[in-house]
Amino acid sequence: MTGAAMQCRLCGTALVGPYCHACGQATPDARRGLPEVLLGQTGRLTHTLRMLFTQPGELAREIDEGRDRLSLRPLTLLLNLIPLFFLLGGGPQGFSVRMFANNDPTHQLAALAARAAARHNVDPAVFDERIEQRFRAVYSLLVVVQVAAYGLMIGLVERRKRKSWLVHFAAATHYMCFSFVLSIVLFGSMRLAGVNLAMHPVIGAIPMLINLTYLTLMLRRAYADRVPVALGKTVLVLLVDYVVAVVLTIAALAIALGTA
Amino acid sequence: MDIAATPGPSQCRFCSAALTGPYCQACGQPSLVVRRTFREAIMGNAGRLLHTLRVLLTDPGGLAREIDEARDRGSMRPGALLTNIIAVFFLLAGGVGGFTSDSLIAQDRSGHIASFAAQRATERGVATSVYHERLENRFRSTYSVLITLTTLSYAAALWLVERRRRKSWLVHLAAGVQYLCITFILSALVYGGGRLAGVDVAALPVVGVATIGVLALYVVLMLRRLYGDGWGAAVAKALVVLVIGAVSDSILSYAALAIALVTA
Repeated sequence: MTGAAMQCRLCGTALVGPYCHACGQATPDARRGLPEVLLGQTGRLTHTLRMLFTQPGELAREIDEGRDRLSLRPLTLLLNLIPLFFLLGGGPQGFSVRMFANNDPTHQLAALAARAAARHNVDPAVFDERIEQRFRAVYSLLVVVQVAAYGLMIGLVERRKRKSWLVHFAAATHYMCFSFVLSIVLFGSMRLAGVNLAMHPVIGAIPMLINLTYLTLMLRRAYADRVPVALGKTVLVLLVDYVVAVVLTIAALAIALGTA
Repeated sequence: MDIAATPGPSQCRFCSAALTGPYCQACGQPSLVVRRTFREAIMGNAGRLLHTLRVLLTDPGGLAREIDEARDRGSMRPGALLTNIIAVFFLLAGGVGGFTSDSLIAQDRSGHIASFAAQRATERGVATSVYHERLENRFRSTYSVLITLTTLSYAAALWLVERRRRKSWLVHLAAGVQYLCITFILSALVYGGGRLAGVDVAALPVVGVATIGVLALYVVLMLRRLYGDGWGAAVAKALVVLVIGAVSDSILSYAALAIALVTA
């Protein structure tokens, strides 16, 4: 270490290594990469994805145990997965306003959209396009609310473990990441095959079972629950959050209709 | 993790170095005694928005200098800041009379781009108005992704004029991002203000010249503070950087439009 770098330039602490042990500031001797300096990411995508798919709950445990430097930040991962979800899993047969409108037996959604288009004096086809884009944007923002709901539920069922809220929110975000990846595969393959998912509830039940298994394994690994306990807690978390997901989707549709 | 290999409380859980404080002095991993915020642990940003915006607006080159001098922990990461500012820019400065794919198409006096767009709409079997709606959305996303290339071109221009300072590429990149952040903030204010006032600012050369003047002054001050240039050298270098940047911006805008036209 050079003489000039003997003190941290941020907090003035005497340095004993490439990072300040008092505030975490990297010194000029620390070899920082572009993602770390420009984006705040010290982690690697391959490591993060490997952990996400093969060891449910391990990424949250890394944060809990203070060894998470090699992983991408959870919310960054989620915010990158959402556009991918809409790119591959959106469209007419995928997760879209059009899909909701087509499967609405009362046809109220289509009627509301037509009324809003007339009110804005816009061609209905153009207005549908705007609603779709606005729905994606609003839904992407509301996903953060859903993460908070999952985090709260996990915190509630695991309150006796006395872990930091950061661990609960990280676990919730990682679960959402996994869930989005699964939805990308499901909606994407349905689009490719030209199959309307709403007409095949059995296919829709498969990802629900996979999500249930994933969350159970996650609670086992991150909170050391036994299988029956983890399963019971998973069912509770998923039930509450299913309601939250439905409410948020309706809210996203309503906001999109009201603001497009 | 093997229990026998689990580091003790005074060892870093990531690299196993013996800890001398709350952060690992060898790898930077926060230990369990650090009270990490949601922002830091979940989003990767240790910095504060207010501090970052204050430095960005009042100290040209200040954020890049913080990185150069290894005291940047209090600031948001430049890339994260730019990504968020672009979204706000399109929110305030997009739409009718703002920076849109339609405004770029209107600049083409030959009408080739407009006829190509009409041809694409026919090929896609959608109404021209629907196609233009899709084109606008695709243009925004493509432009936001391609802005990374503009950042690189600014960094390359800064390296070119300041290569004798032998600063890290990270510093040039951070300076490039900081300048782009200011550009987007100023454009959002100008276009957004124009929209609010119902004025087509693109048709007012005075506004364009004033904006370029402010940005040029910002680059001059940035070069002075970050690289220690004298006034004369900073002005000359700023001109080179701005010319390269302007060419790169134009190429980027039309590349984004071309990609949007082909893929929408």
